[in-house]
Amino acid sequence: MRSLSCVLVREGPSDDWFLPILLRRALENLVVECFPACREVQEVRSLTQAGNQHPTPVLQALEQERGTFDVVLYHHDGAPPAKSDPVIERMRQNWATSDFVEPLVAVVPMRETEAWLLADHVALAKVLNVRRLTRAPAFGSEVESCQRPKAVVDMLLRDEAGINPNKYGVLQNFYVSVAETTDIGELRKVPAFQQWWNDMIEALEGLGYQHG
Amino acid sequence: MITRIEIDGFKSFQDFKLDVPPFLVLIGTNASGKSNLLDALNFVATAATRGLDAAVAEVRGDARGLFRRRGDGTRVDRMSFALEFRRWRYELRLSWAVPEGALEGIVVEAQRLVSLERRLPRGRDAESRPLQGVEIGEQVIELLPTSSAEPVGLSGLLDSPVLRPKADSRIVWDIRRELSEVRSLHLEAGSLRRASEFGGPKRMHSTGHNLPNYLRFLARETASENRPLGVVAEIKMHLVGLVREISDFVIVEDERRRDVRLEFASPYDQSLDAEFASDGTLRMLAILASLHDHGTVAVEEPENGVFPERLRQMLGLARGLVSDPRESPERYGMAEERPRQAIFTSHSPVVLEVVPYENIAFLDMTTALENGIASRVTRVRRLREDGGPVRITGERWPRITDSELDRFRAGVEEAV
Repeated sequence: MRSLSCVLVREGPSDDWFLPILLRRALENLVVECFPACREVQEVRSLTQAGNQHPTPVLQALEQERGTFDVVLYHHDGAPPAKSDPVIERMRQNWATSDFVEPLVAVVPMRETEAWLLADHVALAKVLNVRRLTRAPAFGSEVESCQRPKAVVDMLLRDEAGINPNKYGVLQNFYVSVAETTDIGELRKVPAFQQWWNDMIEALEGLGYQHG
Repeated sequence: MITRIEIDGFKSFQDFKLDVPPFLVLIGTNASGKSNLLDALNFVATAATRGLDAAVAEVRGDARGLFRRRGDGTRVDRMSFALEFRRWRYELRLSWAVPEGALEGIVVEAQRLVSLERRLPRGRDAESRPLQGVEIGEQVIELLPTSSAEPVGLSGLLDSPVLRPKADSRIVWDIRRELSEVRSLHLEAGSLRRASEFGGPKRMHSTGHNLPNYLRFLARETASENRPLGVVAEIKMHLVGLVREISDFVIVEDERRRDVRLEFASPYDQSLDAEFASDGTLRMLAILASLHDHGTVAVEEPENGVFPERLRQMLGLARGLVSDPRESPERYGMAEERPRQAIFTSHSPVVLEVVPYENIAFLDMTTALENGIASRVTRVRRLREDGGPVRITGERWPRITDSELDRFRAGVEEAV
């Protein structure tokens, strides 16, 4: 029985509130849609020891997990591209020259991960427990044009739901709730997310998942 | 002593298999299936000994709600269990049905005992399914699905007549006794404080109600001329060691009120009613009492109300109290001895410090995909020994790595 296990190298602890949940849910959809012979999607495990994403600690952390994962998900915010592109490329090159055989798939939102939180307005309204969003931020494919998604998240909490985003636990629990609720179909309208989706399919095809 | 549990279709379990040592701590986050596992154990044991109605009443949820829920909201219609003891395996398959002329409910499809004397090595039989074909050379005792003498649900499933061979009713009786000695503890402070009644049950309820009578029963059962309190003397000693504020307790039999109460003594207070004892003291006493009894005790979250250092001591004590089959394998056969076994669930990182990794199982959730439907189910993994392999033959998932244990110890990191 084929099973899929992914580990995540992320930028910071707040990514753990959102990405492992969202990516696991997305992988469930992806596997059902493209790899029906796969019968299990395991939790996406975030590697906190991977540190600041420099290849050395990342490889060291992955060495400790050797044999436990099928795919490495390497997350890095895409803004500004002049800074992020070299970081991602450096990691890709180091990975290619390492003795790991598992594929590394980049998870790169256009600007910040928070942009992906904003993609599904129905989910946002549900999580905030409001009938509708009165001042809807950009949505669907446009969320990545949002210059300051974190500020929009703060605004949503404060102005739409009357919740102080600076209080302990508010942001964390909001991120977790949105990750559990966001419609993956809506998120796929976001180009950067669809790019990850396509890269993931390619990686799993390379691992022979289409054959079960 | 239970050596293996297999569950399919009950609550969050799909094709779940776990080897069980005499002492086992189940760790994991909230909603990972730890309590469901204890429910499953309790459900099978109660169904086998007291019937399906009693079994449903013993666990959380209604009868239909016990069947695993798929991701699309539908429920499976079958659940099966297998409990292995040292020499025999009890298999039970239940379904949801509407029998002719009866109300809808849980129906027994099949139950049997299979001898483990000539089993294949564990690596090969790990994939065997309950109630499938019998391996060559195995002895099988077929049991009627339900008792013909009693309406379904009112008598224990193991009270059903043996279909064949007739001579094996003794083995069924032994298994029944093992299952009758399985007990789960979900202790509640209010229940622990209550007095027992004269003539009341001798066993403690899972909430801790009837603790005074239970202690009285343990004392009577194990007393000798020179040791009138039997194992209760040992229980006292351990309680005093664990709870320094307590120096003794007595079981007060009040004939005028026709009840039985506990009174604690401390270095500064000679008579402290159970009503005024701390929650932690009563919880530890109840756990200690159960650990000193025969059979399998499953304790949910012993850390509640207990200081971490005392939890450490409690777990160490429990390890020492269970039967060690390595000492004398023949001692812990089915009928000759009545071994002790302890299963704990816990969220506490203290477990990782005091319990050997071989005695820990880590539960979490994974996504099972069935016909395009994603369902969350419980999985179980063992911990990786220091420098040991992550993949073990016969184990479905890799072992828990240090990074996962670090997360368990620390919880989710805070944002910086």
